[in-house]
Amino acid sequence: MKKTLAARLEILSDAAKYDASCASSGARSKKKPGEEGLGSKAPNGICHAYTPDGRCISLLKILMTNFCIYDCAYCINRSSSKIERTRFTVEEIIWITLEFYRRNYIEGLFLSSGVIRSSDYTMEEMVRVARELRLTHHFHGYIHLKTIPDAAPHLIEEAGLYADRLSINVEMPTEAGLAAYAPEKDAGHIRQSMGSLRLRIQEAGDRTLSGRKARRFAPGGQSTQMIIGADRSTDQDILRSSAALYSGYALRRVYYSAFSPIPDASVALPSQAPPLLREHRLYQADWMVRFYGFSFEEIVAERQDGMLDLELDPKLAWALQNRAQFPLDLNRASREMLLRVPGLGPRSVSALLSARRHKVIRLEDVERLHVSLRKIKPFVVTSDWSPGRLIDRDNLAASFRPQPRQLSLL
Amino acid sequence: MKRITLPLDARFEAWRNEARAALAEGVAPDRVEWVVPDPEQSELFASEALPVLQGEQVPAARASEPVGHPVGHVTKAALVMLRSILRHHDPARFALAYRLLWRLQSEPALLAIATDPDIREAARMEHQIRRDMHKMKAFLRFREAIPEGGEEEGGRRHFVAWFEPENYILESVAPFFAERFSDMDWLILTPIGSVLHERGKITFDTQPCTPPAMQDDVEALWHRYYQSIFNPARIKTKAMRSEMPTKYWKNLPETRLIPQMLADAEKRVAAMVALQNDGSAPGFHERHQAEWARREEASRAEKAALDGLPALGHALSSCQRCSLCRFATQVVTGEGPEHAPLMLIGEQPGDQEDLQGRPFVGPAGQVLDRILGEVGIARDEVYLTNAVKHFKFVSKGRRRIHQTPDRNEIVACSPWLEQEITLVRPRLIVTLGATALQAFEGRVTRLGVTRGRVRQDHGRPATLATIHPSYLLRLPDPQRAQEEERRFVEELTMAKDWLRTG
Repeated sequence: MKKTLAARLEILSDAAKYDASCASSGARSKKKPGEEGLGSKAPNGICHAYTPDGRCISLLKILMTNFCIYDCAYCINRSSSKIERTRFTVEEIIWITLEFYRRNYIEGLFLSSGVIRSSDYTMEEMVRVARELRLTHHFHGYIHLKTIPDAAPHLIEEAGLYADRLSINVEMPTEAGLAAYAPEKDAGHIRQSMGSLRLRIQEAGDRTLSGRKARRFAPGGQSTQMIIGADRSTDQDILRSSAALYSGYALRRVYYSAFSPIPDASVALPSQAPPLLREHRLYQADWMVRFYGFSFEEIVAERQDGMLDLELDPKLAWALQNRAQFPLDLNRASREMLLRVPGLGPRSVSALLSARRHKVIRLEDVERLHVSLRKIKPFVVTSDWSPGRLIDRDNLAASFRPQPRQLSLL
Repeated sequence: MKRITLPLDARFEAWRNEARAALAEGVAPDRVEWVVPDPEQSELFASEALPVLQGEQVPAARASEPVGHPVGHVTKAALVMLRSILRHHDPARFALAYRLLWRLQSEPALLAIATDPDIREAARMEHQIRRDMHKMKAFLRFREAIPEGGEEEGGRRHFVAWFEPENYILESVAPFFAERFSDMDWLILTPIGSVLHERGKITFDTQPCTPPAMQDDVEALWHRYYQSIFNPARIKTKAMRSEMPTKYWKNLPETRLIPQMLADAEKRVAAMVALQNDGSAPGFHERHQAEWARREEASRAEKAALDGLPALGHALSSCQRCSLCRFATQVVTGEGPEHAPLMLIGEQPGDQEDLQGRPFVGPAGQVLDRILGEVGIARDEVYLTNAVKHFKFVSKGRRRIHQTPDRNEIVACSPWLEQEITLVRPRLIVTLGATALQAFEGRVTRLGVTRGRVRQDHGRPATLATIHPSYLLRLPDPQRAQEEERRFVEELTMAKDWLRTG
C-alpha cells in the first residue's frame, strides 16, 4: 500500500536531517514592484523555528528519495541500510513547499536526494522541481539544491539558473577518510565540481563584455559540509581542509556536522554521542577566520595534538598563548589587532574606533558596550586601567577554565 | 517643570510636535517631565483625558513659532535613530529621545560615541526593535480561512495570523509581508491593532484585537515535519531557547510537541545504537554493488586500452608522489599535439589552471598567448606543460597565494615530465622560468647565465631557457617590464627561427 504523504514526509525529512545546512542567506529579492508571484528573499535569511537539537528550521529540508545506489558508511541512506525507503513525486514536493511557505513556516526549499538510476536522472528530477517552482508557480522564495557531482554540465547549468544556492558535500575532512567510508565516491571529482561551480558563480557575478549582466547562476553561492568525529581527522586536518575550501572555491560556508548515531549503522562507525562541543569549537575557529582576520594555521599552531582546546573558546586560547602581543591600548591599537582581543567582536571594535575619535576610552566605556570585563581586562590598557603583571600570571589560563567539580561520592 | 502628556502608543510625529515646542522654548531635558496617562485612569476619565493628550501646557511656543523657521537641527542619521526608537514600547523613550535631541544641538558628534550612556540606551532600544521585527517575520503563522461554501472560483486565498509584537512595529513590518505574500489576501491581528492586505492594498487599524479561533489542516503536516527533522542524538535546548525564547511559544503550536520530543529522545537514540547493522542488507544492495563492480571493471579496461599521452594523463590523475595533491583541485596535464616540434615547460598550474584543469589559462597564460601571437607561433601547435603538475599555494582568507614549488616537489614530479618529453619527442624545448629550467636540468641553474641561447646536449632535445610570463606581470616598473617583454619576444623568436632553420 502506498504510504500517506505525511508518512513519506516523516521518512524523507528524517533522512535529510543529517545535513547541517539550512541557511537561506545570500540571495537578493528580484521581484520587481507589481510583479506577481509568491515569495521574497531576506538577505540575511530567517529562521522560522528551532528544534531542541539547537538547529534552526529555515528551509523545508527533505530528500526527493532515500533510495540510493551509493553505500557510504556514514550515511543513513546507504544502500546496505535496512531503513524504510520511499520517494516523493516532483508535484508533491512543490505542493508541500508552497503550502508551507504560504503559512510562513519556511523561507523555501532545500532539496537533496539519494542517487537513483543515474546521477543525471536524479539531478534532472531535482532541477524539474526548481524549474516548475520558478516558472509554473512563480515562486520567489529560496531554493537550495544539493548538486550531484558527476551530473551532466547542462543540468548543473540549469540548476544554477533556478536555485539560489548549490552545494556539494565533501563529507570527510580528508581524502583518506572519504576513501575509507565512501568507496564509490571520489574526492577529486568533488573538488573539481566545486571548482567549476566557483568559476560559474564568478562568471555570473561579472558583467559580460557588452556590459550586460551574465546569465543568473546560484547568486547565494555554494556551501559544503564535513562530518566531524566519524574518522580520525584532527581539528588541524579539518581546519586545513576548510582553509583550502574557502580559498579555492569561494564557499559561503563550510558546515561542520558532528557525527551522530544513525539507525542500522555500519559497524565501521563509532556508536557514541556526537561530539557537539568539538563541533562548536570548530565553528568558533571558522568564525575567527571569516570575521576576525585569523588564519586557520595560527589557531591550532600551538596545539601539539592538533585538537582545539575544548574548555576554552579558541580566540581566548589563542590570546593566552600569544601573550607577548598584549596588552593592547584600546585608545591606539588598530582594528586588526583589536579584533584579536578576547571578548571584542566586530561590532564592539567598530564602536570603540568610532568613539575614540571623540573621547578617551575608559574601562566604563568598554563595560557599556556589554563586553565581559573579566575576559578583556588582562589583555587591554585604557586610560584608567593597566593589567600590570596580570597578563603574565601562570594561573591566568586556569582562571578561565571551568571550575573543576569534585566528584560526588554518591 | 514642564509636563508633557503623550498617549502610550504615541509615535514619532506626536512626540516631535511636543519636542519641537519644548526645544524652541529652551526647556532643558531635566526640566521636562514626559507623562503617559495611566490606562485605567484614562479609561475612567476618557472624555476629559483625551484633550490633555495633546500637551498639557498651552502651546504658546508653537503659536509663536515663525512658519518655516526650523527649531533645532538634527542630521539625517539622527532623525532615523529618533524615528526608530519612538517605536519602542518603553514610555521612557520620550524623555530619552528629547535628551538626545537636546544634546545633539551642542554635541554634533554624539551619534559616533557608542559608549555614551544615552547613545547606548538608544542602541539597545533599536536593537530590541530590530529583533522584534525579525521575530515577527519569523514566528508569525498564517492559517487559511476558507470562505463558507468553499473557495471562490479563481479567487485569491485568504489567510489570518495572530501575533503579539512588543513594540509599535506593524507599519514597519507590513511591507515585508506585503511583498512576500502579494498573491494572497491576509489579515494580521495583534493586541495593538491589525493589518489587512486585500488585493495588494494595505490597511492599518489601531483597534486592539483578540486571538481568532481557527483550524488549518496543513498544520498537522508541519508538526510532523518539525518532529522528524529533530535529531534526538543532539540535545541543545539552550541554543533553541536563546533563539526562540519561550515568550513566543504560546503562539507557536509546534512548540507544544517539544516536551514529548525531549522525553522520547534518549529512548530513540538507544534504539538506534542497539540497531547496529547485523550484516544483512536489502536486496537491491547486492544489485548496486554488482553494478559498481561492473563500472569499475569497465573503467579499468578503458584505462588499460589507453596508450601514449592519454595513458600518461590517466596515470597522472591519481598521482600522490608529493603532498600537493591533498589540497589542489586536480592534476593539470600537458596539452598539445602528440608530436609537437616545440614544447613549452612552465612552473606549475596557478589558481585558474587548477580550477579549469588546463595549463596556461590564467593571467600568465594570457600574456603568453599574446606574445606567442606576436611572435607568430600558433598555440595549438605547441605542447604546453608544467614542471610540477599540481598547484602549490597557501590559503589567505578567500584567496590562494601561489608558492614556488620546492626541490622535493620538482624531483617528485620529474618522472612525469620525462615521460612527456619521451612521448612527444619535441625538437626544441623552451623552459619558462627558473623552476622549469631546474626541472629540466635536474639541478639549480642560473637563468641569467643560461637564457637566450639554444643549447644542445648529447642525447637530449635542444633547449632554450627564458623567463616565465608571470615575471612580466610581477615587475612593478613599467619600463623594466617593457624591456623584459622585448627580450622574451626575442627569445621566443629565436626558438621559432631555430625550428625553421635548424
